[in-house]
Amino acid sequence: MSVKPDAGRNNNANPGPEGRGPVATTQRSLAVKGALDFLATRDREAAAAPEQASEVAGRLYPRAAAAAADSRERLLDRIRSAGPGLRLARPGQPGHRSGQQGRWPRILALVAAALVLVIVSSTVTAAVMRRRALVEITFVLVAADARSVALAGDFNAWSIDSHPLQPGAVAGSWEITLRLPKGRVYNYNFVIDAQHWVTDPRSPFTLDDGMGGIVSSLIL
Amino acid sequence: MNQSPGATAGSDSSVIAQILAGDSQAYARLVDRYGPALFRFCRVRLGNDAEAEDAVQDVLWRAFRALARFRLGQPFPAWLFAIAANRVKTRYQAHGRDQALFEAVTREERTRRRPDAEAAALDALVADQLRAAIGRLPATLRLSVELFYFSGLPVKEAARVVGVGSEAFKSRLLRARRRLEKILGTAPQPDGESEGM
Repeated sequence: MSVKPDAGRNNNANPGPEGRGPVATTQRSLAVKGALDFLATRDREAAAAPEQASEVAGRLYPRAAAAAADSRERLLDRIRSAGPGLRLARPGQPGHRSGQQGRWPRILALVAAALVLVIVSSTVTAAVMRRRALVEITFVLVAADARSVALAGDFNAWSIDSHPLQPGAVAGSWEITLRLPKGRVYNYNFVIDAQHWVTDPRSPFTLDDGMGGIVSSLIL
Repeated sequence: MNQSPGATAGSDSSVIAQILAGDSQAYARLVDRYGPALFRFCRVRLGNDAEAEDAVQDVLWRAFRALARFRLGQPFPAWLFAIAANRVKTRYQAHGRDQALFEAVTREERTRRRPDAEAAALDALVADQLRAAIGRLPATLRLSVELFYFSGLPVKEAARVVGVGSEAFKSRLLRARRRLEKILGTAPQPDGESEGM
């Protein structure tokens, strides 16, 4: 990805806001050359040490040490001020999701929930269907680069596994159709590649989830 | 060489476990580790230092509040920068109109506070030139450039933020480079690529 800068060629194609005089043109030529040098330097750095974070990336935007220290202290003060009352789930407690921890309890809970569901579902479903209270709704997300998309919401305990979307008819789109009871508010998000939580761009409502995130909201 | 965020994925998880166990001040280690790269990411998008510092605080605070949703063992920087990309986008849209004025002021400030004023002035020009060019890239290419060239994330980590594989990410960077050269007016014309996406 290395590029040899050639600042002498065609540099007046996009005159900058400085103007079109000879001084401004020279400045722009230098700036363009510098820009290409910067990109090439970063490319060479990455080629030499692909796993390392960059040393050169900070050159153009040096961070003022005093401002950085002040920002850091304000943030840590805010965290200190929040104190133990700040609700953070602990490992192994409900609300904390770990790839390894708590898997068996969750499986057992799901089995138990499934048994309960088997017992009550026919009755509940029959009652709901009698009232024609189910609405069929299709959730669609366009995410051309996604490898997988799931629907997670309060109706499935925010599971990222239970409601995977399937590729839709339109290229790059993903969709899932659900039948949900009317008269309720559903909060949900899409989860791309099992890790990126995004709101539904088509949802007319979004809510702050109180944990620093935003959820889409649907009223049926 | 700086410590690689990718190489510290395990220790990130252990710090987060420590925080979730009640030691919230351990978060300072993550702030120190990722604050500088976050600043550069926010800075190139927002256009001035003060806005960028505010955005860094905002992102780190939101990430802290949402730590319970972080999956231990997953790469923390990918998660953190995904939050940052979302937040910066919102702020950028809100403050876009005021940017020209902010940029002019902060460029002078940047130049004045450095002892090597001449080199600093050139760096400021380079930064502005690049930033203007990056602003004309399509969103997906733009994010890739910001993460790799300005935040300085390794390809693997930056690719995770964008949600693609490393090879696909490199391909995006290459396309971005070609477009930047064209925008800056140094690429041979025509090169068969249009600026739009």
